[in-house]
This record gives sequence, C-alpha cells and structure tokens, in this order.
Amino acid sequence: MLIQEKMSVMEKLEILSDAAKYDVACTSSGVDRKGNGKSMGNAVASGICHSFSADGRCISLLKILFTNECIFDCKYCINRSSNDVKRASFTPDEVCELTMEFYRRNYIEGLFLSSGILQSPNFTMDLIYQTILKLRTEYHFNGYIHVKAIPGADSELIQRLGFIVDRMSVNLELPTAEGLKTLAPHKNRKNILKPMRQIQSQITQSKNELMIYKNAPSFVPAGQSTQMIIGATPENDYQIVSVAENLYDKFNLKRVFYSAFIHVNEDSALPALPGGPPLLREHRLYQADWLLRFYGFKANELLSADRPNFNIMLDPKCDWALRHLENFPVEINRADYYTLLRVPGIGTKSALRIVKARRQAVLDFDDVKRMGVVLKRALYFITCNGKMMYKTKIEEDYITRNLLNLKERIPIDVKEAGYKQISLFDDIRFNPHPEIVDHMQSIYGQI
Amino acid sequence: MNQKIFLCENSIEGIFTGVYNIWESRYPKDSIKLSCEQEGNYELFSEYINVNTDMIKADKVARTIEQRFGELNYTNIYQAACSYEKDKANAIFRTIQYGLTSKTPRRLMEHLKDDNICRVFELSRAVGNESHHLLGFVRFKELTNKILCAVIEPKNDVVALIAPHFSDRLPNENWMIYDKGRRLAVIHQGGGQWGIIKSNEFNIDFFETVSEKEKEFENLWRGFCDSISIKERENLKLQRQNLPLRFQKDMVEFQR
Repeated sequence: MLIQEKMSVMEKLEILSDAAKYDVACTSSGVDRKGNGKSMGNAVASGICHSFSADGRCISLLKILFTNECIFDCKYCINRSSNDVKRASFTPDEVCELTMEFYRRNYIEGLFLSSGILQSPNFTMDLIYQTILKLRTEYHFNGYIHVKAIPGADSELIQRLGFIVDRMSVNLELPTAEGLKTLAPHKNRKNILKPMRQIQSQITQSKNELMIYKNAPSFVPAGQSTQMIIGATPENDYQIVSVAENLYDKFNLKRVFYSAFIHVNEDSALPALPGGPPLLREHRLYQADWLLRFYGFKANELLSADRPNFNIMLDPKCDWALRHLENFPVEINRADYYTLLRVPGIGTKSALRIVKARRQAVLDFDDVKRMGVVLKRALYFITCNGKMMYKTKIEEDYITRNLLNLKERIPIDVKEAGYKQISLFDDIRFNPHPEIVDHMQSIYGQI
Repeated sequence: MNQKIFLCENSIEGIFTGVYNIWESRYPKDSIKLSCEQEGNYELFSEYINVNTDMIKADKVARTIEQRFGELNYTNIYQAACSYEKDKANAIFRTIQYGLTSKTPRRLMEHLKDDNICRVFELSRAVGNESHHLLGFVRFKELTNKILCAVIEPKNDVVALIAPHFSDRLPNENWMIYDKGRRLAVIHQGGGQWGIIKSNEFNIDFFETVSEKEKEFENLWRGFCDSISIKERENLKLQRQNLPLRFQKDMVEFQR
C-alpha cells in the first residue's frame, strides 16, 4: 500500500467526499437552535438544502469521511480493506477549517462526519469525538452536526459525543441479519442494534431531564437515523418495509434511509445489476416510508406475504386505494382527517387545509384544487357535495388505466415490460371507454 | 356607479397606507380597488386616487392586523405584500376587509374558500418558498476587506425576509446581500444590527476584488460538489427541478 505523506487538502477532500457519497443521509432537519450571538451558526428545524449535485440529491452538509482507511472488508463498500484505492485522512484542524469557511460562505448547513475503521472502533470513535469537540469549543461552531456512531465503540464515548452533536446514526447496512453475515463478515446485527438502543434511551432520558431542568444539555436533539442498502441481498419489499416499521416503532428513529445498491466492487457474493441501481424500487420504498410516518399506514396494509413487492407502475398509495375501492368515494366536506389522508392526491398539508376551510364554507373541486390537492389523481376517489367531478366509474381497471395515462416518469424498459399482458381483444382501442375529454365534449356538444 | 381605484406605491408601507386611506375615505368598499401598478392602462369609468405613502398610517394598519388577526395571519399578509405579482394589493385589501367583519378573525387564513384570501395564501406560499430556497442558495464571497458579499436576483422582494436568519447565523461577520433587480441591499455589521439600503448608485464592481483565500475555497467547494455526486445515478433533470437555473447563475459551484 502506498501512503502519500504530503497530500493537499484539495486531494483529500476529493477522495474523502467521494468515499462518503454512498451515505445517503444529508438532512439538516430536526432541531431549532437560535444563534447565541457569539459563535457562528444556528439550526433550523425544517432543514435547508444548499445545493443539488448532478444526481439531483440535496447537498446540505459537508459530507466527508475522516479517513477512508478501514480494517473491515464489507463486500459492497468501496473502502473495504481488500480494495486498492487511494487512502487519505484529514487532520482535525483541516476538518474544522473546511467546515468553518464553507459555513461562513453559506455553502453548507453543517458537518456530516463518518469514517472508515482505523485500528479499532474505539480509536476511530475517539478521533471523531476529538474533532467535533475541537469544532465546538475551539472554533465555536454552533451549526448542525451529524456523526456516525461506530458499532462496537464504547458506550461512554458515544454518550460524550451525543451531547455535542445534533444527529447520530448507526447504519443497519442490510435489512436482515443473514444479509449482513454474507456481505459484511466483520459486522454483526447485535453490535449495530446496541448503540442504536443506547442512543434511543439516552434521548428519552435527556428529554425527561429537560422537562425539569431548563438548561440541561440535550442529547442528540435531532434524533437518530439509519440506512440500509436495497437490492444487494434478496430481501423483498415487504421485509424491508417491516424492518423500517419496526425501527420507527421500537427504536423511535427519525428517519430510515434506503440506498439503491450500486455496483462498485467485483465480488461473486454481489448481484449483477445490468439495469443499473434499482432506483425505482428505492423511490417506491421512500413513498411507502412517508405513508408509514405521516399517513397512518401500517406495513401489512401496503404489502403482504402474498404480495411482497410494490407495484412498479403505481405509487403505493394509489395501489392501496385501488385494492380498497369499497372505501371510496370520500366526501370532501365530511370525511375526517385520517380518511382524507388516504385519498391519492391529498397530502398532509392539503388535508389539514380542507379540514379547516370547510368549517367556514362548503368546498368545491376548484377550492380543493387551489388548496394543493392533485385533482388528476384524486378525482376518481372524492366527491364534493355528493357529486363526482366527472362521470367516472369506481372500477379498478378503469381507474388504473386512467392513472397510468398520467405519465408518471417511469423508465422506458419498465414501461415496455408492461403492467399486464394485453391481449388483442381487450385493447382499449377496440372498445374505448369514454375519456374525461369525451365527457367534457359530450357536455358541451362537441361530438 | 364609478369604480374608485386607489393607486399606491409598490411596497408594504404603500399598500398599508392605501388600505388606511380607503377606510378614511368612507366610500362603499364594493366599488373600490387597490392597485400598486404604475400607470399603464387606465380603466374606463374609474376614478383614480393617488396614495402618498405615510409611515404612521402604515404602522397603524400593521398594528391593527397583528392585534386583530394574530401574528400568523400577519406574517401571511406581510409575505404576500412582498410578492412580485400585480394583483397582491387588491387581494390584501379584500382580505383585511374580510377579516375586520369576520366573526373568527384569528382564523382568517383558514377561509380558503374566499378567492381573495386564497390568493393571499398562494402569494404568501410562493414568497415563503422562495425565501426558504434562498436561505440555502445565497453564496457569500469574501472580499479583500473580509466583508462577505452575496448577489441574488429573486422574483419576490425577499431580502427583508431572509436577513434575520443570516443575522442570527453570522452575528460577528460583516456581510451584505444585494438584490440586483431591485437595487436593494441588506447590510449587517459584525456584532450589530442589520438594515436595508435602496440606491441606484451601487457600484458592484468592487464585488470582484475577492480575497486570496476566496478562490481557494471556491475551488474546494466546486471539487466537493463534483465528487459528492454518484455517476450511476446522474439525473440533471432532477437537479434542475430542485435547483432552478435562475438560482444557479449566482452560485459559485455552477460558475466555472
């Protein structure tokens, strides 16, 4: 192995941000902290995106590894010990200076610091701790900091670190313990869940203390998150969503991130992905994730052991609605908030606006449209004053066909593979159902 | 009956003064319109009344709104007044009129069935979105005298909305944010207050005299933005959707 002694900060930054790019989390949300008038920085609960990279992902934190040297040999990871890649390490001062100067120029919202395992988990965790401590106390940085907790590190270290950062995350890496065993021989599920549990209980404890003592230090105020790789191991969507649901329920996680597996290493244990990373699958999982967290859905409502994977053509909510047409149509002026939330095309904000606005007046389709409801999806499932918007049928095939015509951006290969086999005789052109336009034309006598 | 059109200055004080003058005039409100457009096309059968901006009157209106409708509704109306859309003045006037006769004035912005309130809501949302975007997209350059300077060209008049955030975040820096289109600048002095200056005489050439370190950090940042992107996932359309081109031209990572 060739170790260069003198490497410029530019080279290091390129190597170590390149090595960190597979970490998904780049959110800066979850905590509101005013500036203190002396040091630089504050934090905004909604999070702020500062830029977007060429892959369309948000850049909000300076996302770097402290070092990409690693004693572990995880098969999916570019930095595994058996790979011959350029290795580099920052010094704590370099990390601090980069953070401060980028932050001053409003390039970033804060720092995301992760690391390869140098010597031992404890040694690495301590390096990270010393760096963050320096940034907070010597450089007086008051912005957002997200660090990775290294599995296997001392709980004492994690605790000390937790009081000076905003968010911590422990990567689950793979959805199941078996997957982890085959692809990451040096890691085990127990080691990963232990710090996760520790962070959870200390967050709770710290919140309780804050209720009594106003100035008690807060532990990981923006909560903890995790991420798992999708498509490297043969788990189905149902397993993945169930794991995520468990993490939200039992570990109180703020976020679970899904990362479409990207083929960076040649290894017989890894699947070949001729079609590129499974981005659409990742997208569906995120959609389902939102349904779990904000829309009151349960994993077993979206999927089941018989239907273990998401419909690639339709988003999970539309898919659910089409399988439960007996619940529709929903009356906008009467249905309760949670029923409204289950209508495709109505989100949390528009549902809240509807519930408030209808106290003052009876709402019509134009009104809900202005409030942010996506009518092109919702119109099949709602009534205003007992009337549907057009003469649409509550019928699975009919609605499916119309929803698919909306041209959600689906990759061509998927589209051509088809939603179902179309035989010559059920082609819509032979027996056309009236489209919305036809209804409109017949109303206005244009046919 | 003739319509009366009150012409006010295109600013929050101008609009609020207009609202004050409308009430003062005691004309029936149904035949009144408030407009902040410069004389373009005059409408037939209308009488035009000029409004001279008056800080005291504007302040009274602002205070009334805040006291009667609450802070949240005031923020919404204030943000709508920062919009670049021309119909904002009338929508705000009608919204205030609605609120003053409403039985639930503190829930004013929930009455989205009303066209004018819904319009104020839409304008306020658009302004709020743009100013939130700019909290992230503003790029400071360090000049030789250590002052941080940023140039923006927002659609809406948002400098006053984003200034408190930066003042809280960078309390000890001297910085300014310059709105090129409106020739407005927020100026903040380290350890002190911020203020807004409007002038046609800004010489922005001195923005080019950046410090030595500046070039170095700009390059580091550009390098970071390149290496953080995953090639296998490249999606320029998504990038443009999240970060519209009109913002990109003032951001260092896109200036090469």
